[in-house]
Parts: sequence; structure tokens; C-alpha cells
Amino acid sequence: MTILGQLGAAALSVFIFINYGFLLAGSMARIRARVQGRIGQPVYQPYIDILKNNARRTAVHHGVMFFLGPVFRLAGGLGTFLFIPAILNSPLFANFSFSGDLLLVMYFIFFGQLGMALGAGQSGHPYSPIGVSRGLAQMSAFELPFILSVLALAIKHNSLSITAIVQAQQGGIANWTVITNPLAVIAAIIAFLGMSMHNPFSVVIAPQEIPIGPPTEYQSGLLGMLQTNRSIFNAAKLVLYVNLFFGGASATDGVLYTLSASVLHSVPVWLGVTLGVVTMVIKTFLLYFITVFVGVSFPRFRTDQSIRFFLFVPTLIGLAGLILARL
Amino acid sequence: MNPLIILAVLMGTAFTMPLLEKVGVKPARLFFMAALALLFVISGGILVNLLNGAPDLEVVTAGFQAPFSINFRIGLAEAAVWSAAALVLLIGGSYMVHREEDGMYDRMLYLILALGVTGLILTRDLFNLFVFLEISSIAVYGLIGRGGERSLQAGFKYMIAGGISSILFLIGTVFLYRLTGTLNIDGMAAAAGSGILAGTVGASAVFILAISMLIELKPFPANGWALDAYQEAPSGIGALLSSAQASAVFIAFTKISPLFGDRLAAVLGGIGLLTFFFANLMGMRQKDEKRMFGYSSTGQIGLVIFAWFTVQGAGLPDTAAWFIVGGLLLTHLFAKAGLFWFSGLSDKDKGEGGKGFLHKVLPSALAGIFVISLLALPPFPSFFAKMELVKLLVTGGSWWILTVLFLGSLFEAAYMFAWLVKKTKAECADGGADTINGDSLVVGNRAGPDILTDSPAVEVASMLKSSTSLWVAIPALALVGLSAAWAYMAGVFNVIAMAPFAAALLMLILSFLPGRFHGFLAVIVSAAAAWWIWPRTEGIDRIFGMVFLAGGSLNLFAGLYRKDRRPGFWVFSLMTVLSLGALVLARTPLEIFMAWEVMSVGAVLITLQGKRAAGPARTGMLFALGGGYFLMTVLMSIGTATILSPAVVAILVVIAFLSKSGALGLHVWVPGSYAEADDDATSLLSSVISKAGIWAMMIFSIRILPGIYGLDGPELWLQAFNSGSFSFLSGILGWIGVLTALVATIIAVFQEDIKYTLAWSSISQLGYIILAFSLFDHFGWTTAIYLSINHFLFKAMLFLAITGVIYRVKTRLMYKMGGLIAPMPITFITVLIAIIALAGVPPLSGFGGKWLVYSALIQGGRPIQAALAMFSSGIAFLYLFRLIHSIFLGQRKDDSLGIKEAPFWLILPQILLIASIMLISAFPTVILKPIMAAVAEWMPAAIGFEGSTLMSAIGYWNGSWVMYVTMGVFMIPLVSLLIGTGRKTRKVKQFNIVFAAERPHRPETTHYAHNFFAPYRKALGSLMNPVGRKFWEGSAGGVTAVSSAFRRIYTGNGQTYALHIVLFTIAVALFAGVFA
Repeated sequence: MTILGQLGAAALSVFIFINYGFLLAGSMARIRARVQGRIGQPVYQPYIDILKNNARRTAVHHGVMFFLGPVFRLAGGLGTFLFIPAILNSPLFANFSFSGDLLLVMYFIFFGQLGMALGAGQSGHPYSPIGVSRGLAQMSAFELPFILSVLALAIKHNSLSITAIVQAQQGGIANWTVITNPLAVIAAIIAFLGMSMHNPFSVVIAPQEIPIGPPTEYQSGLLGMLQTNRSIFNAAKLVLYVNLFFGGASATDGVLYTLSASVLHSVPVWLGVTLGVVTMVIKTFLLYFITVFVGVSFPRFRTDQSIRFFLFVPTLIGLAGLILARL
Repeated sequence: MNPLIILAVLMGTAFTMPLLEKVGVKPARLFFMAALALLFVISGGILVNLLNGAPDLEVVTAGFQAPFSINFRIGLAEAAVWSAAALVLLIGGSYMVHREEDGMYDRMLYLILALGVTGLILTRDLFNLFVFLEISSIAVYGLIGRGGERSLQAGFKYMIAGGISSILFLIGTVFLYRLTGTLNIDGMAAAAGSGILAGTVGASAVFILAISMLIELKPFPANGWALDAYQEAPSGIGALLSSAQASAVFIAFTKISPLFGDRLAAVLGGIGLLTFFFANLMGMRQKDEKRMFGYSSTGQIGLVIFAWFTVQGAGLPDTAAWFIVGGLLLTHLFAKAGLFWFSGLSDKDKGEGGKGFLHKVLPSALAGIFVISLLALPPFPSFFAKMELVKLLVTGGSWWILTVLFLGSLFEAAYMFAWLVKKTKAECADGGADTINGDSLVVGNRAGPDILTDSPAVEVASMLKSSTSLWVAIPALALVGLSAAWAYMAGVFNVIAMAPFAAALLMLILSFLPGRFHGFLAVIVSAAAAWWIWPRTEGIDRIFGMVFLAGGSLNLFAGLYRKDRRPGFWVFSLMTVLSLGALVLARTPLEIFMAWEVMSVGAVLITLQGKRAAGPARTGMLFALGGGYFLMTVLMSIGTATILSPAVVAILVVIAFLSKSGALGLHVWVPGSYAEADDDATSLLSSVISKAGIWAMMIFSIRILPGIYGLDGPELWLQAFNSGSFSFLSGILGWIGVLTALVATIIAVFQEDIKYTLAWSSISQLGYIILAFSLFDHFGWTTAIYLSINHFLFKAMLFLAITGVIYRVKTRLMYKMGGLIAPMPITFITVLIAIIALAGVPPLSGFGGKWLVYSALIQGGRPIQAALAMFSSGIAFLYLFRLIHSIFLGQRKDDSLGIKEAPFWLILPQILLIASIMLISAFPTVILKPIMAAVAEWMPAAIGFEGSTLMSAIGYWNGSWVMYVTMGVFMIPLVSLLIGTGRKTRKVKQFNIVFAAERPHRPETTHYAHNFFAPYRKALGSLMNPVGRKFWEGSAGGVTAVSSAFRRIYTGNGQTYALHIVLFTIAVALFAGVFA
């Protein structure tokens, strides 16, 4: 594929998954509202928010770094997504995954977070560093179970290439990591709860005592950029998790593909890719539902509690998963 | 000239002294000094003759040949010690005269002492020896007693001991004369050879003679009288007692030693070693300076005795034997004399209410030379001597003896170095004002007076005024000369090995020039060295050589930001940087060890230049020396018949180098040293010097250790550590590395002081490098070198940036800063780039390091270590964010409103470093290809490039593409923001934030910075327990407690001391089997 083609493909896949991210956020908010006995916002509410924020004039800022914070954040979200191959065997959705393997994705996640934290820091609002302090502390803790489960995968498949890991899980649900190494997946899912910052790990953005934490001082277009990032970044993390633990989505394989293949004699490429995207959407939706389910069911941990929590039970499970992978 | 004349001259001058005194004090002094000068001229002339190849000088008396008359013999050893003693006597005389402590009797006794010393060294007749012994002793009793009532008591105690010794000597002589029929020592030795002395009577006679001489040499524990004498004697007399007199008695002792049987020799050697050990052990608790030197003196003489019997036992030829014994003896002679004189000078100075004589450059340098030479560090003769001595012990497999020797040395280093630190650094008083460029510098609420504010001219003038202190320079010069001689004999007198010392000497001589001149000189010399070394090295050596020398030059350049003189900083920095170059070029074990010791001691001395660095520097010195002893043991076992198992050798080497790199457990000296060293010096220490341990571990693995076992190449050796029989050791090393990384990172999170944060961060980064190194494969070592270079880049950036910040805001506490991004934007950018690189966030080069280290560990089958390394690298974000936020972001304090960007001298190196990091981030092949090629020389390649993508067996990484994609995704929102809303916004004033419709009161209450990670502390604070520090403090406490306990035996009571001597004699007799 030419560079231009590559850019076009990247733009398309970003566009699709950003929109998916918006819809996901909207639908989950509605689900959460229903659980709490409210009607809730419309599913398209995130679109309204984004449009509104971007339409408003950004009147004031606190300095260059404050300005660059959301840029870093969005670049981090986009980059993370672009380094992950979204759909297996589809050059259109392979993104720039040839730049690096799983380690690249794991570390690129920090790019946006670091930039955002710095930008928020320049605002001079004490709530921002308080939120960052909590967020970083919690992040460093949930990283450990996540790392352990990733290592279990790497050992099992003897590879850190996401493509290779997805490839190895093809050919039926029995090959999925969730079946082959359920312990690693449990550890990773618990870490995912932390990453998503829903209850019980929502103290980072604690709306009551430190109104939404780091982004306190952001408004208008800058806030819009942060919201855009939230959807693409969420999508990126979900796609990564599905790729690593739930068989990913392939343009040439999978339940939907097999079904259509049994109907049609040969599945055209565009249909295969579409089915791949649909598979990915279904899987990520279900995965995200877990966090919402937990989020509405539990109260919130204090930061030190969540640190101790992550470093104890999930870490032990992750270790067990690692041992399982080495057996 | 016949040396007998000088005896006549000395005695004649002594006896005419009362007469001359009648003429006037001045003529008396003139004759006094002239006699001493003549002594030096004659002895020196004879030495020169002998050095030119003349045969040993035989002098007969009374016209008969020996053994029918008394004869003198002067060989090279005698001539050397004699002329050295004469020099010391000459300076001592001048010292006495200048201080006007020279009554008529003093001068008489002094000349008599000179006579006694000369006779002791020259005579070959046993009874004549006794006479000279008595002559010198009587002079000493008198001289000691001249200082007042307590001195008189001390002199009396000395007399009791000397009396016992004399009685024994006479008894021994009588019996030996009866048995051998001669008083000529050579004749006796010949008779002993024929077995006449083999019986009980003979053995007893020899024993009694030996013990009498031994008592004069102040063996432990029968030396309380000597310590009292050292303490109470005037310092000028102490100097002679310790140097000239003790050396003369030792020479006499060596003459009779051929009479001793093997067992007696072994026992005496053992007593020497124990004296060395215990004297130094007890010296550690000593507060009184002169008594402390006394402990050191008895210890050193003990060491010389031990060395003597060791070389005799090993049957070394004379030259080799005196290379060791003479090296130790002459170093002790000059250094101790110089130290005693110093003690006297600073006493006097104190009395005048001055700041302390030693707080000036030249005197500090002299004191430094004396102490450093006593500690057997390069380039002094004692260093080479001790190396050879250790080699003998290693060859003999005497591990316990070696341990005792090293412990004793370490104890001595502890108190002697502490003395040096105390004397050469002004005491820091709370509340004092300090100046740099006229600004008041208050660091951490405490300040010390600047020790170097005196102008050079004032200093030279003050030295000239008390011209005695210029006399003190002579023993230092003598030591420097002897160093050259010993280095020449040891075969390391070449440009490379000597360059660091030559540079240091040159800087010292030029110390009167302004500070920036030194700075420029240092930068030019080290840059030239880098230029010179590039074509002369290859592979790993070249890569590290550039980090050392080019990196060193860059750091030295940054040091120019200070205008004050900083003589210590420039001298030691340049010396250390050049020694790193010498290290890279060194080929023989001796060269390597020498360069290593200079580098490691140099680093401590750099640290010492910091205002409050005294404590950390002392600890650092002990670790540097301790590590050196391990290394010396290994290096000296090369080419000997000793079979140390490879595992033991590897462990010793690793301990030596890890103590330099600051691995967990051996790290306790690092945080304090890095934090308290001068700010720019810390950059040099952390970014450049800390890599020496890594280079050394690699070079030892591939070049040196395999040689010990006669392996042609390193392949088998590396294989053994990679996956063979020693892989468990590499596994342990890996654990040390990863735990170092983890624990140091967690501790860094909780620091409020920026320099401590970065110090702990350095420790943790070195942990990753050790971890990667421990893999012993191509992947791991490539990673280790890549991480080393990266660490050099970003840690230099951080420390230099922070130097500028501290320079401007005058505090090291982060929570007192804030909002500095506005006045110091370039510094902010440096820190930003550096922390992104350190954190390993793509697209900067740090990610390459992370990718390499985790991939290497997973591929090497160490997933748990990989997990912990990743975990700790996640925690690193905490302290990095805290660092940049607390300093540059948040609310700006009122104090910092008027400050400017850091000085040009600091900014320029930072910009160069930023450029380097951006270059290797976008094009990792630039450094990775040479590194991989260098490592591939030694082990099979495990990773390689496909195009610009680095491929391992399990993953891939394309640094260039990561950079392109990141730039792309960064530009999209940036451009859209700029085109869209960005232009219309305006920057609001400070405090204009959403704050419940209020305006924050003060920046101090709004800047969230103190105890930034409180919840983290609550959750994981228990990991902060300073186990390592407690362990070492406990060890030190134990040693000092033992030291105090032993010191109680010295009651100060003359009768007790006499009893000690008697009991000691009986005990030695039992051990030596005299009664058997």
C-alpha cells in the first residue's frame, strides 16, 4: 500500500472507531441511567456535547503547555489506536501496526496521559495535580496485573506482535486466550476496570470533591478535544483487549464469516472486512459492558485502597496466569 | 666522603651547642641547621652514588676489618631510608627553629637523635646497635618530655618501656655473643646458618633480642606508652618519632631478622598484622588528632613488619622485597611526618583565631597528598607496594590474612579520610551567608561559609609568612618523586596511566589563576582526550570511551557557569575524567586497577567539594576502597597459581563494580553523594562516572576473567553465565538489578528534595542496566549499552537543568518552587524531553530502551523480572511527573518572580543533549548498529535490523516510523487547534482559576506539591524501610563499639604499660615455641 493509501486507510479506521466510541459512551451512559432508575441521556448525546464544545470560543488559557495538553491527549489516543491492528487480515484496518509490537502500544498509552497531566498542571488549579496524583498512583498499581497477563500471552505465543497473537487465537473460541489462560484474562479484566476509571476506581476524577480532576480548567474546544480523545482512546483499549484476550476480529474468519460463507459461495473482501468490524463492535461492546456492570454495582475505593487491592489479588491471579502459561 | 665524619659532626655540634648559645641564638641555630643539612647532603650523595650503580658502601672503623671492629654497611635500602630520615630531620629542625620551640637542650637532643638514627641505620654490629638505640632513645625521652607536665609523664612512660627493651636487648646480645663468638650481625647470621643457635638457649637468645627490638617498634597491645608519647609530645617531635626514628629502628630490626627461625618470623609477622589491624580499629574512635596519628603510625609500622616477614617468607629477591617494604616505609615516613607537622601548624593557627590553616588550596592539597598516600592509593609508592603484597598473599592463598589486612586498611581509611575532610572543609554553621557570584545562596535553609573566598595572592602570602608550611611541601614533593620512581619500577610510567596525575598536578600548580581558566583548561584537555581516544579504541571501549570523555567534557563545560575558583572541583573532575580515559585504554591488570582506583577515589573527592558533602563523601570513600580491595584481589590472582573458583571470582568482581554503580545493598553511599555534591558535579557523577562499573563488568567478562583460567576467548566463559553452570549467578545478578530498579524508584517517589529524587532515580536506572547486563547474551548487552548511553543523555539533561533551577531559585525543595516554566522555558523543555525519554514513552529514545530490556528479558526466559521491571518503570512516572509539575507548573511563588533563564553555560550543553536525543530517537540505527556490532564480536547476534525495523525473535520495533506517526497524530489536533479557536484566546493572570468563585489566597496554599503522593505513601510507604542503611550503620556501630572496648586497655598508667610489655613478651614466647 502506498503512503497515501495508508493515510487514507488510517483516516477511515479512525473515523469509524471514533464514531463507535461516541455511540458506545452514549449507550453505556443510558444503560447506567436505567440501572439507577433514570431515563438518561439520548444515545447521541456525546455528539451534541462535542459539537457544542467545539462551537464555543476558547477565550482564555493558562500558557503554552496548558494549550498543548489536549493536543498531547488526543495525539496519544489516536496514536494508540493507530499502532493497534484493528481487524486481522485486513490491510485497511491494519493501521500502522508495523511500527512496533505490543510493548509500543503499552507505552504509547502514556504519551497522552503525560501530556495531559502536564497541560492540566500548568492551569495552576490544585484539583488538577490532585487528580493526576491519584491517577498516576492507581495507574502504577493496575499496571502490574496487566503486565503479568500480557507476559503470560507473550510466553504462550512466543511473540509480542499483536497480529501474531490474534492469529494464534483464530479457528474457534477454544483458541481464545480467555479459554486457554483464563487466569491471565481475569487479571487483565480487573486491571481494565482500573484503566476505565469507573467505580470502584473512579476516585481519580471524583466529581464531588475534585470536580473531574485533571481537566478542571479546560473548556470549549480544548474540552471537546479531550472528549474526542475519550472515545477513540476507549475504542483503542477495547480493541486491544479483544485482540489480546478474546480472539480479535478477522476479515477472513469468525462466526459471522463462517455463516456468510455458508450462505454465499465466496465472501467478497468488503463483506469480510465489514463482518470483521461488526465482530469487533459486538465483542468490545460486551467487554465494555463488564466495566459498566461493575461500575454500577460497587462503591468507590480510596486511592490507597485501590493500590493495595491491585497489588494483591489481581497480581496473584496474574502470577498464577503466568505460571499457567509457562506450564 | 666517609660517612663516619657526619657522626663526628653531629656529636660535635651537639656538644658545642652550649658554647654557641653563649655567642648567640642565631649562630647556634645556624650551626644546628648546618649540621642537619650536612647529614642530608652526605646521605643523599651516597644514595645518588648507589643509584648510579656503585657497590654497597662498606665502612670499617679503627683500621680493622669486620668482625674485628665495628663496621657500617650502606646498601640501597639503608641509603634510601637514611637520606629520607635525614630530610625529615632537616625539615623537622627548621620547623622547630621557626616555631621557636628550640631551646638549647632541644637542639642538643635533636642532634643526638639524628646521630642515633644514623647509627641505627648504618651499623652492622650488635652492641653498637644497642648503643645507638640507647642514644636515640635517650634523645627521644628528653624531647618528648620537653612539652610540659603531661609530656614529661609520657616521656617517663616511654623510658620505662625503653628500659625494659634495653635490658632484654642486652641479655639477648650477651647470650648470642657467648654462642656465636661474635658481635658482628653478619657473622651471627652465618653462625645461625650453621645451626649454632638451634638449641633452646640459642632460640631463647634470639627471641629475647627480637622481642626487645619489637617493643621499640610498638607492637599491639604493648604500645600504650607509645601512643601516650605521640599524643603528648610536641607535634614536631611526634613527626620524628613516627617517621625517622621508627624507620631507623625498623631498619635495625631487619638486620637482625636473618637470625630468626621460621616460626619466630611467622609469629612476628602476625604481630605486625595484628598491630596494623587493632591500631587502626582503635584509631577510629580517636578524637585527639596526634593520638590518632599515633594509632596510624603504630599501625603502619606493624604493616611494614608484616610486609617484611611476608616477603622474607616468600623468598623474594632484595629488589622485589624492598619494592614492597620500602614503598610502605618511605610513604609512611614522609606522609606521617607531614601530617604531624600539619597538626602543629593548624594548632597554632587555631590559636590565632583563624578559620583554620588547612582551608586553603595548597595546604589542602598537601594534606590530601599525605592522607591519600597513607591509604595506599595511586600513584603513591604504598599503592604499588600494597598491590605486590596482596599478590603474595593471594598466591599463598592466605585469605584470612588478606581479610584482616583489608579490614585494617579500611579502618585506617575511615579515620584518616575523616580527618582530611574535617580539616579541609570549613565547618558549616547554620545561618551563615554563602556567596556565589555575589548572590546569597541558601540551600535547604542551611548554608556554609564559602571556603574559597580568599584570593590566591592572600593565600600564597600567608603561606610564605609562615614559611614552615612551605617546608611541609617538601615531604609532599618527595612523595610525588617517589611515586614516579615506583610507577617506573612497576612499569606503568607511561603517558596514559600518568595523565590523570599530571593533569591534577598541573591544575594544582596553576591554582592561582581564575576559576574559569581552569574550567576552560579542563574542557579542552578532556575534549582533546576524547579526540585522541576515538581512533585508538574500538567496539565497546570506543562507545564507553565517548560517554566518558565526550560526556565528561560536556559536563565540565557546564561547570563554567560558576565564576568562583572551585580549584578542587576542576582538579578532581579533570583527573577523574582522564582516569576514565586511562581505564578504557588500560591493558595490564595493574593499569586497569590504577585507573579504576583513581577514578573511584576521584569521584569521592569531587563529591567532597559540595557544601555539606562531608558525611556522604566519607561513606563513599569506604565503599570505593572496599570495592577496590575486592578488585585488587581478583586482579592480583591473574597469573598466580592460586585457584579461585570462577564463581568466587565473578562474585568478587561483581561486588566491586556494583558498589560503584550503587546496586541495592551497596547503594547507601549514592543518594547522599549525589545530593550533596555540587549540582553540576552530580551530573558528571551520575551521567558519566556511574557507567564505569558497567563498562568494567563487560570488559572483565570478555577480556580479563577468561584469561585467569587460561581460556583463549570469552565464549566459554560467557556461555557459562548465559545458560551454563553459572547461569544461577546471572539470575541472582538480574534479581539484584530489578530490585534495585524497583526499590529505588519507589523511594524516589517520596523525596521532596529534587537532588535526592534524581539520585534515587539514577540508582534505579542503573538497576535496569545491571538487569540487562545479567542476561549475558547479545540482546542483553546491546540493551545494557543502549540504556547506558540513554541514561547518560537524559540524566545529564536533568541534572544540568536542575543545576540551573537551583542556581536561580536557591532551594532544592521542590514544593518551594513552582511555575518556573515562564521564566525558564528552555530548561523546562530540557526537563520535558528528558522525562519523556526516562519514562520510556514513545517516540523518544527511552522507549527503545524499554522495548529492548523487556524483549530481551522475555526472550531470555525471565518473565518475572520483566514484569517487575515494567512495574517499576510505571512507578517512575510518579516521580517524573511530580518533578516537572512541582518545579515548572502549578503556581509560581513570589520569591521566583524576578528570576531569569539558566546561564548560557548550562543551556548550551542541554541543547546539544536534546539534539542528540532527538536524533537517536528518530534514527535509532545510528547508535544501535554500532552497539550491536560491538557486542556481536563476543557473542552470537540475537537481534538484527530489517531495513529500519529492529527484529527480535518475539517482536519488532521501528523507531523511525513511531516518530513519524507520532508527529503526524500530534500535528493534526495542533493545527486544527491553531486554525480554529487557538488564536483568539488570551493568557489569564495567575490565580485566575475556577476556585469556587474565589481567588486563591497564596501560591503556597494553592500549589499542590508537598507530600504529592500521600495515598501512595499510605499504601506502600512501608517499603521505604532503610534496610540497607540500617545494616551498614549497624556494622559501623558494631565496629566502633569493639574499637571503644579495646581502647580501654590503654589506661595511661606506666605500670600497666610495663605489665603489658611483660605479658606480651610471655605470650609471644609461647606462640613462638621458645619454651618448647
